[in-house]
Amino acid sequence: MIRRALSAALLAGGALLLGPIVAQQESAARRLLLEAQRLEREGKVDEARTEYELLIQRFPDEPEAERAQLALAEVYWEAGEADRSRMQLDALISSRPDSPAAAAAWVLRGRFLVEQAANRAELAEAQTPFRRVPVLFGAGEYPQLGVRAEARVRSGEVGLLLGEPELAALDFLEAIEDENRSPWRPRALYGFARSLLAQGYRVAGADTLQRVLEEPDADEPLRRDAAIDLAFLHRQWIRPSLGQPRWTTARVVGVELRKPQKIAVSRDGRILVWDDGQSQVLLLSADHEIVSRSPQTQVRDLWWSPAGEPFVAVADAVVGLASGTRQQLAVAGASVRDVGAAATGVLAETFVIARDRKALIVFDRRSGAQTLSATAGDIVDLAVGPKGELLLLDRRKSEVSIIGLDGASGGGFTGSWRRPQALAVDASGNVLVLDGGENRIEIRDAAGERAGVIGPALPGGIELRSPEDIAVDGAGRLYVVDSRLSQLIVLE
Amino acid sequence: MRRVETRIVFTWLAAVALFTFAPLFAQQRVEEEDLPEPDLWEEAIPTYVEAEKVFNSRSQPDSLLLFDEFLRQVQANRAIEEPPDEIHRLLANSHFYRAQVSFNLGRTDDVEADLAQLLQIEPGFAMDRTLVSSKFAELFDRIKKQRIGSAIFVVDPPDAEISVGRWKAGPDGVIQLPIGTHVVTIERPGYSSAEQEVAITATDARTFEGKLERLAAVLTVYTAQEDAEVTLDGRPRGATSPYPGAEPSQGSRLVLDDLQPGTYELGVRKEGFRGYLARAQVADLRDYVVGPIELEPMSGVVVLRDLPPGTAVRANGEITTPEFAAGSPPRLTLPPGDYRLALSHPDLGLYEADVTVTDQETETIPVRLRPPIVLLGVLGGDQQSAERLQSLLETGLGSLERWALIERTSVGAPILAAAGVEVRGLRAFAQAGSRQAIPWDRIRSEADQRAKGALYLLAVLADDLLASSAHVFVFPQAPLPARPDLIDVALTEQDVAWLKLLLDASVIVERPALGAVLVDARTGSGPLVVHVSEGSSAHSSGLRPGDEIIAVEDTAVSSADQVSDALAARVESHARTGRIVPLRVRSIEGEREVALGFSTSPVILGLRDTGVLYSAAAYQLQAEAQNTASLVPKWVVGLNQAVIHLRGGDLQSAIRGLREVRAPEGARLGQGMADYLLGLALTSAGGEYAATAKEFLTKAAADSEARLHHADGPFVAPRARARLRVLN
Repeated sequence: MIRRALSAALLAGGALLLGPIVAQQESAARRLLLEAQRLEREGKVDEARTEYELLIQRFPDEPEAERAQLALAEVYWEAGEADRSRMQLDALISSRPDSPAAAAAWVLRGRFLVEQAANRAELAEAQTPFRRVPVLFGAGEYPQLGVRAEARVRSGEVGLLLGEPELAALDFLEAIEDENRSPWRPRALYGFARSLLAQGYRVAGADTLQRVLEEPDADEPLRRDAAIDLAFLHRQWIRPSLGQPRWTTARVVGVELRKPQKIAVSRDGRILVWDDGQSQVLLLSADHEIVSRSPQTQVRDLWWSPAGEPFVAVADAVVGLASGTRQQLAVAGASVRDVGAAATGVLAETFVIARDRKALIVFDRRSGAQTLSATAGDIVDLAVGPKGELLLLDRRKSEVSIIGLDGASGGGFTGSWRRPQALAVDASGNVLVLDGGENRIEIRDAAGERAGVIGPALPGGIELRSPEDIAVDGAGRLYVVDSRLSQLIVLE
Repeated sequence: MRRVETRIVFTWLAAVALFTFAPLFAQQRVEEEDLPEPDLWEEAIPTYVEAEKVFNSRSQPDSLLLFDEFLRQVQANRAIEEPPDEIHRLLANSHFYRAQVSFNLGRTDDVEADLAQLLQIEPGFAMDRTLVSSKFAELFDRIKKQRIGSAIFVVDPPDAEISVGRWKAGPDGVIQLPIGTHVVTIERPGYSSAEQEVAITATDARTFEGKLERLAAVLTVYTAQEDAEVTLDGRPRGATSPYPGAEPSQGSRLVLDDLQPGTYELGVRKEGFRGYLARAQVADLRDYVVGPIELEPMSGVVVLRDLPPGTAVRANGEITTPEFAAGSPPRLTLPPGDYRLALSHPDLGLYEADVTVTDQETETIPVRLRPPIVLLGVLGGDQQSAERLQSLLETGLGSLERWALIERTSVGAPILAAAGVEVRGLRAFAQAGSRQAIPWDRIRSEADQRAKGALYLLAVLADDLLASSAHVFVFPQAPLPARPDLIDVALTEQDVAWLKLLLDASVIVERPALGAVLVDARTGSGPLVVHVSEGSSAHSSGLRPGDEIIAVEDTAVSSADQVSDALAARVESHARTGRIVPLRVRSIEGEREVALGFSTSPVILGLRDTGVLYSAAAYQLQAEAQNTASLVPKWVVGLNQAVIHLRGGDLQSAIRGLREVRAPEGARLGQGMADYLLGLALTSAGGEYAATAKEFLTKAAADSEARLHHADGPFVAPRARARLRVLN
């Protein structure tokens, strides 16, 4: 297979030119590297680490040493030794500042910072190493440097999280037009499409998404993401622009339910339903097949994290269904005893409404807890929007309020709902509010303007009687659970 | 006539190659030549020539040693074979010269001895008396009188030859012989022969008579060519040869002296010539003469169709000039045989074909000159892999359609050395994107000087010890951008085949232009129309956003890709004729048929296409730009060239080219792309051009329908807006 020279492989040869002694050294360095990589692949991380360290110590001037330093930094990071990881990267960057390996180290440093970021400021700081790579390792001096494309794409992705689609678009565009073709191109195209859509360029965004599907190197998850976004555009843009309803059909999912109370749907259509009647949480595939049933009572909320993991909140804890982890919720040593609703944010933080404290609390990825609002007693539901913003539904005030990624208030809107009881946000920021009193769902656009209502009568003759919760997936399908109908209804 | 077109062109095709290696060829030819057996007498002649030269100089006595040496050589050779007549003549001359020298030195005994030997060799020796002294002449006469006498023969027929060995009588019948008894032979073709014993004395010349009897007719066959084989009634009778007293231009002859009256079929043949056949009527016993017969050389004709003027033609390495006749294509007339025809033109490239020429047959070769791509070598320590890749490249790229591959692998390493580049440097550049600056200009300049080609291909193995792949650098001749294409190639036929595809890919292509954005939304069964451009074929045929295309001309489609493929398959049949393609579409109003008017759009290179070798494209475009007869719009060529300059970092050429491009305004593909590229180039040119860059990008950003690369390509406007962020 023909490939463009892409990777920052540091196994450059040339042994014969250096004479037999050096050739022997290179060979030993390479052998050590291969051995360390083998151990790492086999999960023998400690042994691998020893080999990497030995390689760096014995052959500090060989190209393999740079690669070992990168690998070691990653191993330390995975082991939770962030400082040692950073030390390796710093050593590499300072000892070989002009080496392509240093560019890779900058990217690795950025990745670690992104994974660690607990707030918008830290996220913005994490973007810096990525941005530094094209500056320090320009195409003029390093025309074949593949890691530069990765740096641009990762910078763009952080830019999107930061709500800066225009800057992100430039990062992605530079990765597409200014860099050699690389495995990062499909991801750059997808990021560019998302940044165009975020700026409201729907035609160009849709066109670019389609090009992602046609990219020969695009992997399956990326194709799926692009297809989901295109389906969303069809429902949320093309249909309304032609005077058609967003959802033209409604159908009942053929799963036996008694008294469904809560629902959450992942971006790719996987469903979590809490059936109070059966005291269990059901996990359905995107094809609506039952994948698992988990006995649960007193479920307060269900949700999917942005990374696609299912979570359940009970009165005093959050349970990760995929990992089986249970996080007891406590603030300053005091337990939370009455969770009302919860969600995971884009920085892997968990937002919790603590009814016993009438507070909105955020638990960040470093296990820190912080009270965002001490007057959140009437918040009945919350959701995370496409820009990382947090939306809160206040039943008493009949209001949706928004907190931006930076923690600042981002506005909101009120409604004349009789009994607002659930909230959902779609991929373009449209907000759906379930009014249990009227058995209908009101749609507000991203600016809070009323954009439509659906219910109680749904297409196809179904009539909502006691809708309990709503959800939307990435493709814009609307899901409703109705406890009186004992049904899960999908609007497409 | 059998012709084998040569598609594999790895030998000395290029005129340059032939020129450079001419001395080597010459040397090789001498070494391989089959030299004839050395001629004993030929080797002695230079000694005689030198002796004669010295004799005629002031140091005449010095010639004695040389004549001695000549005589010694002849004596030694005589033990092996009898000297020919010419050597006898030289022997006689040698004695004559020696006698003169001895005479001048006053060595009378030596003079007499030499003159005696001279007359023994040549009794009829006659000297030019104006060149010798009268005393010497007197001495010669005296000695001759003492030793030589003569006899007179009167014979019938009068032209019969009278001889004693190699001594012959003159036309007057007088034969001079040493004093003594000799047996004289009288003979003539067609007659009986006779012998007569004669006693020669110093005092008188006796007269003898002789008459020969006619026995047979004589047929003398003259041929213009020497060594032509003569047959009578199919039986070989010998070969013609030059005859005494005749100039070479007078040809050769064969005398047949045993013919009886009758009719004969006379045949004459010689290799490389067409045969001669005639009926010879021998009426009675007389002499007959045929000829001179000029045999026609055998030849075939090779017509060189479409041979551009100024093309040098070589047949088996020899420069051959085609014949140009009014109203007919140029042709070569060649003797029968196998030929490798190598054609080269300084601008248009090379062509090579193997031809077998058969006598009196004509073969036509469609000449298609192709620019040369020079394989500069496969470098790296793994010799086995290097040889394998080189073999793969030679085989795989031997059948290139657009290029003539020339193997010049010996110059790759010297080129790098002269440019100061190491193999490991190139490898590090390719593998790790190292900072090491590669002086591509210098490498290219060295290549231009040492192995001039249109395109160069240099491979570097990925590893010195055990290589399974190589980095292939491809770059064009000056003044095209020196930045190479870099392709990683595994040492497999498949990868080399892919490289061949890349090299042969045309850069001037068209694709169907729909004018609608189709997406695979997975909300229906077919691709969804989300946008229709005003003025496009999709627009005029009534396609609307929200339509779902479910069939193209009765073939169901389920993706945008399938629609593209279906339209692309109709380029040949529909594009030129403006035919309609029926589309079946579904919308909320139901299904309907849309008559799509088929249209196409040129394709402009992307900045990062993987299916393109920019080096090859640059050369193609240069040729296209210079082709005044081309129907390709100039703006298409100009935009493509600008992309190549931009990619190669040649901002000045890119900007200059783009400013001259007159692309269609308002078209989806046209000025919008030109403005965008100009904005990009000016942005890269530095801060002082920022305002101008902004101007062009702003213009591009305002053109909401403008596309890049193709009428259905990516939208220009959002990209221009993103680029404006840098300037803002």
